[in-house]
Order: sequence, then structure tokens, then C-alpha cells
Amino acid sequence: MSNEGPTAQVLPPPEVLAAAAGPLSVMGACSGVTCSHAISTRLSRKLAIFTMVVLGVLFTVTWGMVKMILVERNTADLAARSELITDVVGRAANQGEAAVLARLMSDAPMRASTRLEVWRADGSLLFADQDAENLHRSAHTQVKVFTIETPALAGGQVKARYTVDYARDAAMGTRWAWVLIFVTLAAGALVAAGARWHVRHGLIPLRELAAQTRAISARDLHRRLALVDPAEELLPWIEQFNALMQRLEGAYAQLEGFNADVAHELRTPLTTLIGQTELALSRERSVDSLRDTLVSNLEEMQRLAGMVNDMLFLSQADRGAVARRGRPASLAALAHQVVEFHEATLEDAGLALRVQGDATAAVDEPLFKRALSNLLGNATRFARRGSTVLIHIAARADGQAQVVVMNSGEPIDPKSLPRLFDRFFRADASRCCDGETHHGLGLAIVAAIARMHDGHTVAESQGGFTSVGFTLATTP
Amino acid sequence: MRLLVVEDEVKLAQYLHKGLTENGHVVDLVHDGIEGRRLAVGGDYDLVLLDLMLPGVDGFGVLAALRAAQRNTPVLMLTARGQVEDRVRGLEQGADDYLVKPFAFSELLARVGALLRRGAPAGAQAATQLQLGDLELDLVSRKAQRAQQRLDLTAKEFKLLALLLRRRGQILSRTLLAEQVWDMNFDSDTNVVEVAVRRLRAKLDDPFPAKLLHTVRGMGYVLEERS
Repeated sequence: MSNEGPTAQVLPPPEVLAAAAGPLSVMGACSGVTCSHAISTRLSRKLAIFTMVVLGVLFTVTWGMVKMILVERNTADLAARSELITDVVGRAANQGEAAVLARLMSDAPMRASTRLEVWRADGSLLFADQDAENLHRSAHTQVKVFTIETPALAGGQVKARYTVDYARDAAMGTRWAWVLIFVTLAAGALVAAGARWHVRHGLIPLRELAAQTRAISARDLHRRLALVDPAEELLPWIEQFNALMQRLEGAYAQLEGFNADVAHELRTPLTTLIGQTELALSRERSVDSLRDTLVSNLEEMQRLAGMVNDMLFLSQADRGAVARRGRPASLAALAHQVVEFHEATLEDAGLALRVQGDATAAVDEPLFKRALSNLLGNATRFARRGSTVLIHIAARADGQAQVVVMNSGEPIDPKSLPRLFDRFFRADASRCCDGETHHGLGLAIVAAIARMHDGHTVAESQGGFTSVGFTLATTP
Repeated sequence: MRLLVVEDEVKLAQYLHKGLTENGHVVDLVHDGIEGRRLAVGGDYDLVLLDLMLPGVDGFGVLAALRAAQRNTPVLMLTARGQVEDRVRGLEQGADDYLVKPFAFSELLARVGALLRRGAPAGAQAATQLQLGDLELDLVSRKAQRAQQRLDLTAKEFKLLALLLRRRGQILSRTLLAEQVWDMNFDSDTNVVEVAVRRLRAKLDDPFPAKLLHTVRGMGYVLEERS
């Protein structure tokens, strides 16, 4: 895997790998217009704010209710005390004003931190508690003013004002408010820290995936991403990435195989050329013999040129060249032109031909004719003598037109069908190449032309009939 | 005819010089764009063969200078790049034809011939009767006969024979025949043209002692009287 020896000279396909690795390698960086952010920071901040808002609302409501209960309790307490005073004063009043005063004086210690004031019916002060100053300063006093029936005294009643200081309750409430605020803030901070840690911890698999991705180089495309305990949310990513790698590895293997095939296909004619020329030069030859050699070399070199041209065409198609479509035309009419071209070879092979169906499509006419010519050449080579070759053209429901050439003959192994359009693929090496210029790129060119028209290839072989063809989008 | 060849690949240029000279042309040879531009604009040539990739000024530059000088000398571009864009650009800028390397010499010769004829006044081309030895073709009634015997040809066979007869003595490649007769503008990997020629020959030559249609191995076919 990390062998830097002989394998180091295998060049990676840079644009393919860059395209695959590009979007993944920008994690945690500012690139172009968009700036990235850390999920952990953002999530923990949001969670902390959310926690604080919820706790704040909750505590505010609770605190408000507790305050209400306290006020209610104080009011009830004040009422009870007032009633007690009414009772005591009312009873003492039966013995006269002096008895009232004596009773109030003796009860004074029981009214700590409160203040009672009593006025006669004529408005003159009868009694007032001491320590009035403290009480007046407090902001948390409650006051009840009431009249006490005293039939024995002048005027028949006295007026009382009772003031109670609830400052201690209020102070407790304020203390609790502070405690609650502190708890809210502390909870927010704790949640932030906790969430940050958990999210970071939870994202460790992502960092692991990034590290694994980084480790994949052109020389070990067979590697796949894997986690020991993958999160459900990450599974689609891992699966898609691995599927992408699968395709990439396949394409890369095909490319490497193609390079090897090219070298092999070129080596054979080059060997012939070099050997033949050397042999011709090695001794005196007659003019005719030299001419023979030259002619043979010429044919060999024409084969090479044809192959190079075809490979150039394929590489242009690979790099995304698209068809230069003309006006919409009848595909059957174009097919008839191609059939005319093949008339002689078809007759030679004892084959009849029928064009069935039609479709209208805007195609690159030379390319379309080339694809169909290759298919027809193929069918002619493999069709059973005396049979009929059928060109079937149909407009499909999905907006594509389909052109299929069907011939009867030896069935093709179903395993070979998908590879039929591969470069230099020959389903059966023994069946082909009786000295023709055919070099195993014909169907690959058909596939390229289909691709250039946003279509694809089709192949089927059953019941003694083989159908090979392609589809194309009828409009760009 | 005076031809100018602007080509920096010395071996290719020398072979073009030799081949074109042997075929009766007077050929001037330059190896870079600057000299090529000077000669193309200043000289008096019937045709310029122009390579696209040149030192100094590239083929497009030479072409632009030529057309800017109001010279309509026909230009045949030679390019190693098969890209459609290059061809389109060349033709848009005033090239008359192009050939993509690698090309067959017969192909080059045919295109040079066609371009030179384009400039010549029409005369023999307008003929409706073509004749070679005892072979006669009537282009209007589309009848062919040899030694007073009617030849039974299909439409494409007639077209093929007419082309060979009009260009008698010239070697016509399979690619050129496929293009001109069947309108198939690609190198076919089948032997369609060979078979078609063989069938034509069976009707044209087999019944007669004197053969007219000859195969030039590795290059193509030629129609001519050989003694």
C-alpha cells in the first residue's frame, strides 16, 4: 500500500481525484465567499440561551406566585392581629380609658416591630406605640385602619391604625430572586459547557472520517470509509462516499486497462512495421519486393492512424464534447442512407435488411450515421448468412429515441453484454478480425456518440437474436 | 501551380515538398510563421498549405494577415488538433479547407486538386458526357455503357463510377469515396467501400479484356487506361 517503488510511476488522474476530494477537504476553513463555523460552538451557545430563557421564565413565574402568596398571608395575618386588638381593646374599654391604656401598654412587647395607634372619637390620640421611627423607614409596611366599638367610652368608639412591617419577608423574596438569577446563569453556563463537550465528542466520528478520507490516495482507491459504531445520521454519507469511490475505482481501473490495451494494440503493428522494414533493408531487394514492404507498412500505419483518430474522438467525448445537433430529421431517412452505404457488404454476406419504425430527432447527422454504420458493420460481421438484419427505430415515452440493430446469430454470453461497449472489448476473440481494419473501438464509439446526445447504449441477446443499439435525447 | 507550404516539422515539410513537386507543382517551403506570413502576403501563390502550430506566428496569425491584405489565395489548414473548435475557427477566419493529421498523401493531393480547380474557370466540369476508352457515361440520362453494351448499375455505383471518371488518373482514397458518394464523413472501420468497388468492377471490367478500374494498394482506387 505504501510501497513507493515501481507503483509510484502510476500517475493519478488529477482532475478526477481533485474533484472527489475537493468539497471534503475544506472542513473548518474559510474558502471563497462562504465562511465555515464550528457546530459545537454554535450548538452549545444556542442550547445555553435556550436553557436560560426557559429557566428564567419558569423562575419568574414561580417567584411571582410565591410573592403573591406572601402578600396574601401577610394580609390575613394583619386581619387576624387587628381582630385580636379589636377584641382586647373592646373588652378593656368596659373598664374605662385607663384600663385600655394599661392593657395596650402591657401587650406592647407582643407587638414587636409593629405599631398601633388609637384615637378617641373626637380625633385626639389615645395611644401610640414607641419605635415609630424604624417602622416609618421601612418600605414594606402594611397598614390597616379600623374602628373599635367602645360603648363605655365617650363617642362610643375609637379609631385604630395598625402598621406591620413585613421587611423580612421582602428581603427573603429579594434574596431568592438573586438565587434564582444566579441558578439560571449557572445552568446556562453549565449547559453551554456540557453541550460543547458532548457535541465535540459526538463529532469525533466526523474527524475520523476526514482522517480516513485524507488517507485515501490514488494508489489505494480500494479503501472505503468505515466507523466502528456509525451514527444513523452519518450512514448515508458514508454509503454515498463509498459508492462514489466504487465508481471512481472502476473508472480508474478501466482507464488503466485502457492504457494497457492501447499500448498492446499499438505494439503489435509497430512490431510488424519495425521488423518488416529492418528485414527489407537487411539485404539487396528487388524494387517489387521493396514496394510490397512499403505497401504493407502503409496499410499497417493506416490502421494505426485510424486507431489514434478513434481514440482521440473517444477522449474528446470523455472530456464532455457534445453533439452539434442540426435540424430535426427523420431517423429512418438517415438510416436508409447508412443502409445504402452498406448495401454491397450486406449483399455480399447474403443478408436482407429492413428498417422498421421512425422517430424525429435533432441529431448530429455525421455522428448518428457513424454510430449506425458501426452497429450495422457489427451486425453484418456476426449475422447468420441468409437472415434478415432489422433496424428498429422508436420514439420512447421518456423523450428519447431508440435505435437498435437486431441480427440473428450466435448468442452473446449475458456476462459479456455490459462490457460490449468497452474499449477494445471482444466478446469472442476468435470470431473477429479477419484482416479487416476493425480494432475493437467501434461499439465504444457508438457509446460515446450516444453519450454526446444525452443517451445510452442498449444490448440484449436471447432466442438466437442479438440486439445492440443506443438511445438519444431527441432535443438538446 | 505555385504552392507555399508553411510547416515547421522538417520531415513532414520535406515529404510534402517532394510529393507535391512530383505531382507537378512548384513548391516553396518555409518553417516558421513569420517567414510564412511574409511570403503568403507578398508572394504570388495559387494555394497555401498552412500548419496551425508554428513558431513565431501561429497559423491563425498567418491566415489573419493574409486575409487582412485582401488576398484570397486558397488556404488549406493542416492541424494536429482534431478539435471541432479549431476547425470551425480556421474556417471562420477564412481557411478554405482543413486536414487533420495524420492524413494520407492521396487525401492531401485530392484536396489540393479540388481547391486549385475551384479557382479555375468552369469548363470541362459542365460536360454531360464523360468518356474513357470505350466507356461512356451520360450524366443526364444516367446511362453507362462500355463497348456499346449497357452497364446495369445501381444509383450509388453510377455515382461512384462518375466520380472516378471525372477524376480519372487520380488515386481516390476510400475515405474520399465514402464522403463523396455516400455522404459518410468518417473513417469507417468496415470494408464497405472495398466491397462496393469490387461489385462495380465485376460489372465494369470483368466482361472486358481491358481493365479500367485499378486498386492502388494501401491508397485507394484509380480509373485509367493502362496499356
